[in-house]
Amino acid sequence: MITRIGFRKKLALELFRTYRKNESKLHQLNYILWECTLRCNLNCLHCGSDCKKDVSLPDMPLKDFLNALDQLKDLVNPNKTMIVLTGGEALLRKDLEETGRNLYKRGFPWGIVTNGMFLNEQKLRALMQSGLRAVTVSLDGLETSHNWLRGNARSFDLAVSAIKLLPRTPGLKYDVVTCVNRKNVNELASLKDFLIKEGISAWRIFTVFPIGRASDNPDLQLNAGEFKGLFDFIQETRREKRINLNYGCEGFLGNYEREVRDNFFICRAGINVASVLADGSISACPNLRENFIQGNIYKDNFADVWQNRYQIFRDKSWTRTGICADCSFYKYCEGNGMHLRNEKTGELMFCHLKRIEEGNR
Amino acid sequence: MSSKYLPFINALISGCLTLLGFSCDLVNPRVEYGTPNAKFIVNGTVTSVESEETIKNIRVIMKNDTSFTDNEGKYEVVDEGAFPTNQTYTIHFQDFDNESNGAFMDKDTLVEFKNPEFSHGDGHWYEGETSKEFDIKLTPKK
Repeated sequence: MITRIGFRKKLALELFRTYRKNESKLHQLNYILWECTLRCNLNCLHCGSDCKKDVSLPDMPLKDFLNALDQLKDLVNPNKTMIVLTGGEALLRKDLEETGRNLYKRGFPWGIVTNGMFLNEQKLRALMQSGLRAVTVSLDGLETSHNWLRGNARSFDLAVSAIKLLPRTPGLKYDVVTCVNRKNVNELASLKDFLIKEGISAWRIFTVFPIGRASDNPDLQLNAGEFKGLFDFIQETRREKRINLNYGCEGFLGNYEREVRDNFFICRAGINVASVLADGSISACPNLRENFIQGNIYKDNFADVWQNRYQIFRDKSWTRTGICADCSFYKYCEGNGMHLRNEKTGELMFCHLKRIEEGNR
Repeated sequence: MSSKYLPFINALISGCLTLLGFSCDLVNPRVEYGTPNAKFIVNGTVTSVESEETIKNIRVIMKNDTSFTDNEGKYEVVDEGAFPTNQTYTIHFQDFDNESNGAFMDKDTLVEFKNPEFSHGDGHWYEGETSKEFDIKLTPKK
């Protein structure tokens, strides 16, 4: 029973609840995502970004992002603040090495999220020499299902070529991330063996959520039985200890908490995480737009925004509506990940716990 | 409660969770991709440039860490959670007790870590610690 939680874990969840409250009060920024381009070389079915294939879309000038970062100098310790470049496809930026060197010079560790299409040995070496420390590469299944989701017949081969570089690169932190959907859910065991064979030690799984293009593709979402089965798979894989597999940072998962990822559920968006979107909007995570935008680097001081706004993230009592209103696990969940709340109405679009319960029946 | 106690409480919670069998890295929370970090340690002995005798109770400051030399003139200062790459630290040596152990001039000096090697990392984001021995001589005040 997913909702039957033992005494020891309940005690741990209560402690973690206090921790989460303290984190909200401390509100220490330590993770900044930069949507450094909206251009993309793929057209993925599930994409949550506003990214476009149109190469004429201008990227934000580097100096504008650096100016915004420099405004944070009294607020953050750069050594303890990770900058993650996302997109679109981050590798399409022509000034990525210069970007990296500027971040490195300021003491920020930085990383990229990429589909791997343009990540070859030479590019990786150049980025490492510019201070790159972390890479996340997407691999959404075996060849057919990956290429289907990514809409490109060469995307699997290129992503795998990129992935092979990761464990061979000293000093590089990495993980492979897989978006699980109805096409690939039954091949996860084969994908696991494939990744282990390639020497991959860190794997992260997330499920499609109903935003971006995925909101128009309900078939991408697992049915309840598959959804429940996914967590059994993750739990079993973690027990094997052949690869460190984690479920993404969304959803309170009842008795699966701490069994399928390294930490208990916490949505750090707006608590420790901020984002600068392609148009300069200051948000919490790149999946949060519209009503969740807190300011804009072209109008506001980034430090002021972080210190004086973000109220909807620091106090989430407003999320206790709809199906959250009478949920007995609300105190551990606080309304799920903010990206799963409707940007206009605030209503919850997807409850992990309810979906797992449906799969149990 | 003042927010200055909250990091301590969170560290305590992290310890309690470990005792319960649910170890979580809450002291250095990491979202999604993590943050590489390492510990840089500088240690050594402070002596008088004239007598070559060790000097106790000299204040040593490196970034946010302050320590004092012991009876044998030894000190250690630490930078926790630094970026695991080449680092240069300014270390400030200060005689704050005036005449009680002899009076010495303050001194600022640079200590450089070049291509540091780290040990005892956790296999994840914490790459471990590296240390450098750095002895210093202070000049007595005239």
